[in-house]
Formats: sequence, structure tokens, C-alpha cells
Amino acid sequence: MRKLLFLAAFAFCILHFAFCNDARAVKVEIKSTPEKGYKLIVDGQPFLVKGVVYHPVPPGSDYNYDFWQDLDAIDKDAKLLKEAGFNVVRLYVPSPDLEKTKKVIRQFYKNGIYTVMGHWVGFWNYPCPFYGDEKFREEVKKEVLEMVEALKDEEGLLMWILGNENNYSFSGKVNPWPCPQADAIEDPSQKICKKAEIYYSLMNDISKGIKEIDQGHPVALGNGELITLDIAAKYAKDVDLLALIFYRGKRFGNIFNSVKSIFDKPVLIAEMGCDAYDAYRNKEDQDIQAEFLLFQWLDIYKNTFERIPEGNCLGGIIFEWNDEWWKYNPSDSCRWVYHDTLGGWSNGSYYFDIKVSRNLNMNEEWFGITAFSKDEEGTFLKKPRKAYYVLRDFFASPQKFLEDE
Amino acid sequence: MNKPVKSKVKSQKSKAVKHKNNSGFFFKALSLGFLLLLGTVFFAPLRAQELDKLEASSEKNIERAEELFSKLKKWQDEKDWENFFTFRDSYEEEVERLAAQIKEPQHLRLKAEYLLFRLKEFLGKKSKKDIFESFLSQVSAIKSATPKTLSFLKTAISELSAEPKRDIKRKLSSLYIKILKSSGSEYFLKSEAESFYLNEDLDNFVVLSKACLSLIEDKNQLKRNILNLIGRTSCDGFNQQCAPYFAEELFDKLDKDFDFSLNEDLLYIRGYNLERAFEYERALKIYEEFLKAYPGSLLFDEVALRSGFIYMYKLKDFDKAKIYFNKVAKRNTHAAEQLEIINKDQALSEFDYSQRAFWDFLSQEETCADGVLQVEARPFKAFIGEKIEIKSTSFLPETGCLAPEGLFLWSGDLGEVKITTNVPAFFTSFKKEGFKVLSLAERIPKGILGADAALINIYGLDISFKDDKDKNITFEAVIEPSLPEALLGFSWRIEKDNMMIAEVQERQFSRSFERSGDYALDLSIFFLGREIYTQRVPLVVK
Repeated sequence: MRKLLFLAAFAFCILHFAFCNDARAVKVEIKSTPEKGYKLIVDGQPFLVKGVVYHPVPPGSDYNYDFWQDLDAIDKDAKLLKEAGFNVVRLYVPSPDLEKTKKVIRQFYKNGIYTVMGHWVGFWNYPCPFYGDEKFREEVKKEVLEMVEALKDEEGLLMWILGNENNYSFSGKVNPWPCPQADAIEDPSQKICKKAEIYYSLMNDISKGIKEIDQGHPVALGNGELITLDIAAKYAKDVDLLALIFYRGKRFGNIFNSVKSIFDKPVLIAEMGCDAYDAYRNKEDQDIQAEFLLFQWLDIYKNTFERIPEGNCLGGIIFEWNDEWWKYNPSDSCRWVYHDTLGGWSNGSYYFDIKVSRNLNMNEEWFGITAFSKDEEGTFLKKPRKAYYVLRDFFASPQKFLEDE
Repeated sequence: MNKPVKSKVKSQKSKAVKHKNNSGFFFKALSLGFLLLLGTVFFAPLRAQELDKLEASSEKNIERAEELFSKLKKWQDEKDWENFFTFRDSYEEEVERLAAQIKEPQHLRLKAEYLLFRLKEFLGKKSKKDIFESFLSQVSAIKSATPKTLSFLKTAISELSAEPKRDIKRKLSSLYIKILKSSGSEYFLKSEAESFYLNEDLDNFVVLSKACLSLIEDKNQLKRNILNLIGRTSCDGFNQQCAPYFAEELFDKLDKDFDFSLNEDLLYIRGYNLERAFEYERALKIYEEFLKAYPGSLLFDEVALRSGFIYMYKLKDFDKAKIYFNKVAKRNTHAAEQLEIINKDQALSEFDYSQRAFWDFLSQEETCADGVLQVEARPFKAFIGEKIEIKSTSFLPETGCLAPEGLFLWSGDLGEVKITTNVPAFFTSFKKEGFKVLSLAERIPKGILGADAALINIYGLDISFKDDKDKNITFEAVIEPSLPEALLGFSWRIEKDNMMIAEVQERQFSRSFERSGDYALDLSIFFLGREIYTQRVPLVVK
């Protein structure tokens, strides 16, 4: 009898380990609070997203660089992130090899870092995204659902983001795409509205498709600024939250209030930040980057469920973890080994260097909170900038900073 | 009976007691004195030692505070954030504890430096306010205006210049100026004033210059300084920065304190300065004085034209304007043209739309709400071909807000620019010398918001060479129309093969050239000591 009992227990243990060692997705959900705010719940606990956009392209390479295979480097980054109090990385798109993607998610999760997984939803397809075409729409949806199917059970997965700043294309000025239904309209603003309708309806459809196969992770709609969000409110009702991109300078102003009135969904600031280069004085400025980021985070904290006033912010993701030296001129590979200091676009909210010639003050290659520097052997290493440490202090005791405000 | 014995004994006793008492008192006093002496001998050095110790520990405190503070600054400068953030809190606590014990005036600067360092941290409003107030009080306690202190304060002003709250920088600047003024050193004040001038901070330059003038006792020196300052702060039309009210104060001072009679050049400058400061009535008085005092002056025509221009375009007094234009109409086409307009000799139907709008407003045929419109040229005086920026600013009366949405109807001498009607500002240049009048009327849906005109002086520079047979060349620079001669300066530089051959400071000079060949001739023109124009001319000596 004893032998039997022992055997049964042994078999149970074997079975238990056999099944339970597989990846078990953590349940992620969004709940609204009595004060009418929102909070993200991960594995039963409230969770504030403190993330970075992760795209570790080293100097000399561009977006084609396969960072997915370098798990040691990812591990080092994950430890640094954890030390500073970050808990999320955002990946714009998975690797074509989804198994590699899984390994990266797991590597981060080992260090307590969750992954927000995105998809371009065909935006960068050649020659352009044909969002009005049924066949194109089906293909994009299929691609996204394949990704979801493959990755949904990963423990370290936090949520999905559909698209990024794709809505900037509705005006035709950025990555324009043809669409007979919209092109037939003469009025330019109506044309934009039509394209928005076509695009957001696809996002809604994809979102519904995701939820059929994955009920454990929220689906976010990526959107640049508040542009056409009113149309998204009509045609993308089924998304769980908004992953918005804002470059409003040092503070966010009234965006949380605006989002609440336009499209009352929880908000994740999916891109925010400040470049560490003063284009006017022509020198690196780590101080101003740290200052801007700190005040951006203060605004985020003030609008979370704990603190209200709007209570609709689930957290933020800084653009970005490291500098990317290919961004000023993606087509000129000779320049990828240089850290270009010319600004590529203009934004007056970053007032400290707006007086530069032609007001081109945004230095796309300098947004990292870690910078690349060469060691004695000429290898590029990541060195945290001041912003990293300032945020480390902030995440450690945000109340101290909030009270001082 | 032994009564007397008893009393004797008593009295003896009491004497003895008295004696005893007296001796006791004496001994007590002696002991006390001895103790005091002992104390002085032993304890005074001890006290001194204690004081020395305190002083030594105070010095040590200061050294330690400086050491920790220097480390923090070094890590910050080297961007060694790992060390900086690891040790910052504990070091700051220690420095604050040590700094709190510093009382010596000579070390107040350390405290102030440390507080400035803290001000640059990303502090919340409360902390920043507290620290800044501490910082200001430390700075206020610094009485001595040593070079180190002043340099520190200047650095502080510059480092806090990015502060969004202007009153922080303003308070610090006031303290700095106060300390400077208290220095009582003319040399100090002058050199600091110069520094402000170079940084284009004319407000503080004026404050310090006034303080400097108040220290000069010698009347001749004071007069020289006043004249020098007039030259530097008057609006002369070429300079972008000027302090016209201060310049006028100085002219007034010359008038009242020195009974100084202005020559034609200075009188012209005074009038022009007032004109640039929009003090039209006062400017006209000065111009009138000029015209009476210097009828033969080369500047007579310009002053008459200016007077007419002010009466016509700024004060809308056409009758008075005619008086002045008539003085010069026979030799000046501009004056003649203005008279034609006033006399309506030029048919209004010949005006284009913009000119008509302007004239209707000027003659009050059409008005609107009392909007304010101002036209400005930068600079008001230039040479042929130089770029001039023409700007307009207009305000709505009911809101006081800028009104950039109107239809901008430019007319008159606009130079080489090709513009449409919808620009509030543009760049232009002129091909011919002379006086240029350009005007603007801004039309909004309700009517004409406002109108204004600008009178611009365009100068031509003629460099002539006259050579005789012996390779002796005479160079001469002539400027048309005239500028006040005594206020002009010329600097010629002759180069051959990138090497300087000669440098001359005259309007006209002669030189012989032994070698033939190509030379380069650079001429710089100065007005009131400032360079206003340069021209390079190739020279071939045969």
C-alpha cells in the first residue's frame, strides 16, 4: 500500500513538472476604478508600465540588424533596466523568426521585464500599405494573428500594440497610400476622414480577431498624437486601450483630459522622450534630457489611478533605450558609423535648441537614455546617460518628487 | 566685680574677632586674587587653545566641505553619473551640515556656490524656492566686491539664465549690480559695464555707467565720459542696439551741468536719437534748432526733410510739413514729391490700391478702430546693396493683442523686393542712394487698422583713385548723402598677395607704389566709433 502511494505521488510530481514547466501566460487585464480611472492588473497586481522602446542597433548598422540573436547583450540590458526600475520593453515588431522572438521575451522576463509586442500592420510594406484593399487587409490580419498565436502563451508578454504613427499617413504627406474610396472625395479633410475610417475599421477587426484567440492580453491601438482619434472612437471601439505617441516637450499639458473626452479608453504613452543633443549650441546636453524626462514622468504619475486627476494613464514608454546612429540618413550606410548631429525635424516644445538654423532641432540619433562609447579596444559599449540615473531615483521614490512638486 | 575685664575681654575678643574677620577677609581676597591669576595663567591659554581648536575645526570643516563639493562637481563635469548619483545624497547632507557652521564672510561664497549647484538639480517648486531664497540671502551677505566674487555672480546669472522664472535672474542681477556699485571703484564699474555692453545687455550697461559717472569728480573727465557714452548709446540708425532715453539724459546733462553747446553733428545726433525713440515733438524742437543754427550745413536738407516727414506721417500736420518740404523742394526730389501729394497735385487716381489705402488713412478719409501699427527698418541707415529687414507690428485696440491677419498694403520705395500684399515683414535692399519713404496700411474686414511710414537713409560710397605719372595714387572716400563728418572714421588697408602693405586712418590719402600688379584695397567706415560698412576694391597698379 505504501509502495502504491509512493508511486502515485511520484507519478503526480512527474506529471506536474512535465506540464507546469511549459510557459504559462500571465493574465493581464484592465480594470476601471471607482473613481473612474483605469488600472492595469498583471497577475492580480496593479502594474504601472515603466518602459523603454527597445531597438539595440549598434553603430554601423541599421534597422536590418538582427539583435534577436544576441541574448547576452539583451541580458545585460535587461539587468540595467531592472536596476533603474524599468519593467517593460517595447518591440515594434517581432523577428521574422518567431522562435527567436520567444527567446528574447523570455530573456527579458528572467530579469523581471515584460514585453509589449507591436506590429506595423503592413504600414512599411512595399510599395505602400493598401488599407483599402480587401486582400491586403486579410493578409495583414492573418500575419498579426499568426504572431499572436505564436507568442500569446509567453509569460513575459504584456500586451499587443497595433501600428504606431500610421495615422500620419492619412493626409498623404507621410507614406501616402492610394485608396479609391478616399481618392474619389474632393474635399481634403473628408478624404482624411475616409482614410481614417478605413484604417481604424481594420484595426478594430484585427483587435476582435486577436481577442478570439487570446483573452489574456489587452490590445492597444497605436496612434500619433490625438490626430483622428475622434474617428478611431467611432471605428475602433473594440480596442482595449490607446498607445499614443506624444512629443510635447517637458510636460504633457492637458492630453489626458483630451483623450478622456475624445476617446475614453485607458492611455499608455507608447513613445515620449527628449533628445540629448542641443542643436543650437552644438553639443550634447544630458541635463536637459534628464529634466524633460523627469517632468514627463511626473505628469504620468499624476494621472494614474492612484493619483488621478484623470486617472486614465497606465504608464509610459520612453523613446528610447539607446541611440541609433543610422537614423539621420538611413540610405547612406557610410554615415551609420558617425553620430550625426544634424536635426532632422522641428519641434518648438523642445525650446532649448529651437533657434537652430531652419529650426531643425530634433536629433533623431540622440534619443537614447544610454549612449554608445568606445572602450580601449574600440568596442562600442552602452553607457547610461544622466536621465537613466535621475529616473532610477524617481522610480525608487516617486512620492518624494511628487510632494516637492 | 569684673565687669570691665569682661568688657575688655569682650572688646578684646571683638577686636580679635574683628581682627580675625579682617584678616579672613584679606585672606579671602588674596585667595580670590590668586585664583584669578591662576585662572588667567592657566585657563586663558586653555581658552585660547579651545578657540584655536574651534578655528582649526572650522577650517577643517571648510576644507572638508570644499573637498566633498569638488568631488561632486568633478563627477558632474566628467559625466561620471554612477559615482555622482551613488554619493550625491550623502555628500550633500554632509556639505550642508558643514556649510551651516560657516560664518566667516570670506567663505560665504562657498555656501553660495554650493546652493547654486543645488539649484541646477531637478527640484520641485518648493525645494527650489527654499534653496533659492537661501542662495539669495548668502549672496546678499557678501559685501566685498572682489574679482572672484563678481566672477562667481556672473557665472550664476549665466547658469540661471535658462530659469523659466524671470524674477530669479532679475533678483540676482540686481544683487550683482548692487555689489558692483558698492565697490566704489570706477575701474571696476567700467570694466563690468563693458562686459554687459558686449553681451548686448544695455539695461545693466546703463545702470553701471550711471554709477560710474557719479564717481567721477574731475569735470573734464566727466564731460569726456559723457560724450563717449552718448556715442555708444545714441540710436544712430546703423546700430541695432541703443539706449535712446539714456542718451537723451546725457545730452540734457551736458546742457544743464556743463552749459555745453552742441555742434552741428551732435545736434543732428540728438535730434535723430529722439526721433528713433518716438519722441517726435522733442525731436522736432532739436531739428528746428539745427536748421536755425546751421543753415549752411551739409545735413540741412536731411534735417528739413525729416521734419517734414515727421509732421506729415507721424503727426499728420500737413501744413507744418509743407513749410519744411518747401525749404528744400527745389533741390530735393523727395521733398517735392511729398508736396505734390499734400497739395493733391498728383491725382489720387494715379495711386495704386496700396498707396490709396495709405493716403486715405493718413488724410483721415478712412479710419477704423484705433489700432496701432508701426513700421520698423533694421537698420534705418544702410549702404547700397545692404540687406534691410522691414518689419511691421500691429495691435488691436480692444485686446491689445498682435493683429497679424490683415492685408498688408505696402507702398512707396520698397527697394529690390518683390512682395505680395500679405506679408507683415520682408527683406530688401536698394540700388541707389538717397532717402526712401516706404509706407504700410493694414486692412482688416472692418476697415484700415492703421498705417505708418518709415524714412530710410541709403548711402552710396564712392572710392576714387587719382594717379599721377610717378605711381603715386591718391585715394578718397566720399559718402552721399552726407553723414556728420566729425563722427565718421575711415580705415584703409592695402594688401598684396595676402600680405598687408599699408594701413591708413584718413578719408583721403596718397601713396606711391613701387611694384606694379594686383592689390586689394579694404575700406572700413566707422560712425561714432562703430564699424558700419566695409568694402573691398581690387586695385591694379600698372
